[in-house]
Amino acid sequence: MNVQDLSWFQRMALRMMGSFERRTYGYQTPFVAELVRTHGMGGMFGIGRAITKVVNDLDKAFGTEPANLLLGILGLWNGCSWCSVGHIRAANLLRFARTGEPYAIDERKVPEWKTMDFDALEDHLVELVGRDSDEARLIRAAAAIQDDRETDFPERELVQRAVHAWALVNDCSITLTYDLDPAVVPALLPKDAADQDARDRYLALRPLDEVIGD
Amino acid sequence: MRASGVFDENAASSLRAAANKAAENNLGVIVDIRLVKEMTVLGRAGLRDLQNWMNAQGHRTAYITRSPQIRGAVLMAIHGHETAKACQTEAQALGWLEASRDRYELELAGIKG
Repeated sequence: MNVQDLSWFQRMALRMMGSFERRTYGYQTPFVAELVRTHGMGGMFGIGRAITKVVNDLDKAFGTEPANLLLGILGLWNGCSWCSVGHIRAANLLRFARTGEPYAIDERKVPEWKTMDFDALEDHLVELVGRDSDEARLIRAAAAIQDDRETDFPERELVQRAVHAWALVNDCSITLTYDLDPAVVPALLPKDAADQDARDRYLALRPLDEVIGD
Repeated sequence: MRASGVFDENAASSLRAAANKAAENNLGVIVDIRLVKEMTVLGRAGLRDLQNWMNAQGHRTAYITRSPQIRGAVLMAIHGHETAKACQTEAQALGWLEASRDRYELELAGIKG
């Protein structure tokens, strides 16, 4: 498959989609054009529909916070700073708005985590969410599926679908997001998913310009 | 083919030379970079050149990595190439070389379950 230049029609369509996205989400996904260059407009919509279904199924099965955490971790596995930071930030923001406490998985550490060996990274993330938590079981399952290891996780098939989905997303996103600074990545949520007060308080708790290490 | 340590433009050139040899009688190539700990910007460009060559020669290629940073660099290198795949284990890599379907087709089928 060759990555193609965009036609006039495709550029106009992308401009309209970007405008819609900015109004609804407050940000614009930076790699939609790359999806169109790679798969064509029809292919991009087909992939978009399939991915939306997976995300909705994850939300239903696990809840929005763990689902976003999983998507962030799949993005992290693939080295994509946009998906990893953005979805982990979304999970943290939602949890923080609901309980006053975000996950201990702090998205600002993504650049450091990207350099870790997969096994060590899995252990580290599991430790952060608590070894006996549902989130830990989800992380273990995702890591096992990535390695084709056995897992008795009941929703194995759904997590496997998410792994495939993020393989396709990150194939295009990575060309633009590999070196992205976590500070420029928004929480990947609709505008109305968390109010401004919660967003401001989360930002105060985890400032974007603060350099951190373990 | 294997590389380890810091992957720079010299490592990429060495892999390219090894690929020339390895692919002579074989249409499938495994690039094992599990032991690569760091990849320079020029190393990334070299990896992309290597993959472009593999693609032009029609070699089905599997890259094995063990960290997000290196896997991400591989995903950049294979972007748009349906006959190359980032793997995490040797078994996955061998499975990929034996498969006949292309990557995008396989992933899309996998999303639908």
